[in-house]
Amino acid sequence: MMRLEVQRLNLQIGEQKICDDLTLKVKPGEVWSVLGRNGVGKTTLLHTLAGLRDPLGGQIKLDGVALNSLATKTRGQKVSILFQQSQAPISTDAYDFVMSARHPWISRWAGPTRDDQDIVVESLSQMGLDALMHRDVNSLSGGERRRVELAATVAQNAQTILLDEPVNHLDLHYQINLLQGALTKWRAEGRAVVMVMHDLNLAIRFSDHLLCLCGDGSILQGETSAVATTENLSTLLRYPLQALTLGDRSFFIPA
Amino acid sequence: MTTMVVLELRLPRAFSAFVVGGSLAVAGVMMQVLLRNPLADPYVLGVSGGSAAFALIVMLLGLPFSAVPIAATMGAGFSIVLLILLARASGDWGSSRLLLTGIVLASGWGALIGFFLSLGEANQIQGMLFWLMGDLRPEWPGFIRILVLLAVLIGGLIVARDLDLLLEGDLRARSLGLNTSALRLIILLAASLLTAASVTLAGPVGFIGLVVPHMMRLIIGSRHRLLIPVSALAGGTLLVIAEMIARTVIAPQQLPVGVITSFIGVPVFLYLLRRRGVSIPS
Repeated sequence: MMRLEVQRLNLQIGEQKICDDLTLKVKPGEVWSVLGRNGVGKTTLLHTLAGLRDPLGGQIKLDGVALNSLATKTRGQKVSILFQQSQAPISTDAYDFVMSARHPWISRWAGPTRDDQDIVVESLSQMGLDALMHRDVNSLSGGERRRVELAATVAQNAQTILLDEPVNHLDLHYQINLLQGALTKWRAEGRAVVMVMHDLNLAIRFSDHLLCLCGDGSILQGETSAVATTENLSTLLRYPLQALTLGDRSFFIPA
Repeated sequence: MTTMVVLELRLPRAFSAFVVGGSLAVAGVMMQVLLRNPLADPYVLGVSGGSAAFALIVMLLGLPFSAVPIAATMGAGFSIVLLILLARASGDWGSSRLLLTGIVLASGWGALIGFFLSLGEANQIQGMLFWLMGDLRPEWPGFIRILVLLAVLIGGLIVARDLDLLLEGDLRARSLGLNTSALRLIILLAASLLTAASVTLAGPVGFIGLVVPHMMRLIIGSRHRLLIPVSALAGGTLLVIAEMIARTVIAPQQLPVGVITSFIGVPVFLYLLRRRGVSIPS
């Protein structure tokens, strides 16, 4: 069964077509990167997959169930989204912020259980935040804050995970370590990950499939090795690229 | 004689003060969540004004007195909706835009109220004016008002975690499975009912909804499970004290209680505006 299945999705912002008739099948354990120039609608696509925006046409299914037929709380258990930027900050400590990601699982009457508390602590720890647990998120640096948000994604424990530029603001070693650590774990757990990536080479290195939004509504998708060619990527980004090969990996740099 | 004064004048008035203060404080908390702004207050943003103006229309038209509370609730709700529509044009909730819009609305309602007063009969005006400055009559608060406050307190506890989440932003709340439009509607209704309940009893008493939740957040934090009941208690207590001061400070003359709350509220509001800006303290 597909973890995430999109049929004939039609999306538009104003006059601009994002995708027209997009069909997408993401299996458990797959990691997809969404690529495209600024303003082609990568974030809008992600928000639509999260059920935060209605498409013009088409259907989205999570584990075989139509997204728009799910109760909002159930939807929060099945799909999580890491936003590109968090909205206007309010003060709350890192622990409480991550605990709020447990909302879909917490009963209105019983409140957070011991399990919820353990999951929150574990998620924070997985992102290397043990020492910052009780710090106000507004007093954290951009990168630390991003890690708190990633910890919240972990704590939400959804089978489909959407990430909008997950390693924004992060130091280089965190970019690599987090992607490596989290994605390996999520793959093994059979989750589906769809992420918008700004860095071409990170996307190619860490995802097994690519979904390229070309800007005119047309889409290029497939396994990374097949899609990531100099020609495709140059057309996609509208700038000539050239490939550099180092060991068994190819890197694309502006020509 | 003393017993009669206490039972028939002091006690009802003190109890009314408690209910009005509690209602206004909780209305403030609700508006602060709805508008994601710690400076939101029913009086400052013209919600009390809208409520009072609608109530006055009903009085002037000579409609049955039972229509006054309904009109007051509609006036409060209308004012909040107007505020949301006008201030949201820019997308997200710009704090200064929201405050400006609210303050302009408040002065608009003020002008309208002035206009209505000039239409009133000479013998009505003294009483209306006193009521509009925010004052308590020696009256029991009435069953419905107590019920409204209790219902919002209980409802507020049930949705306390949802309110916490809504404060973290609409998109995030929705992605975590919160039906934000339904919750907003409930908050709107609660804030309108509470404002109307207090306006019809005491006129527009200012700043309780601003000062009390702010103080309580500093002491107990922003979690609504605690913030709502504690604000209700503190708001009630503060207005009972304000009522006592109003009665005694230039005795035998009495001051309207709204004058006292404004003396406290204005400096606190200016201080917050200067110091805290827009963020909600944890």
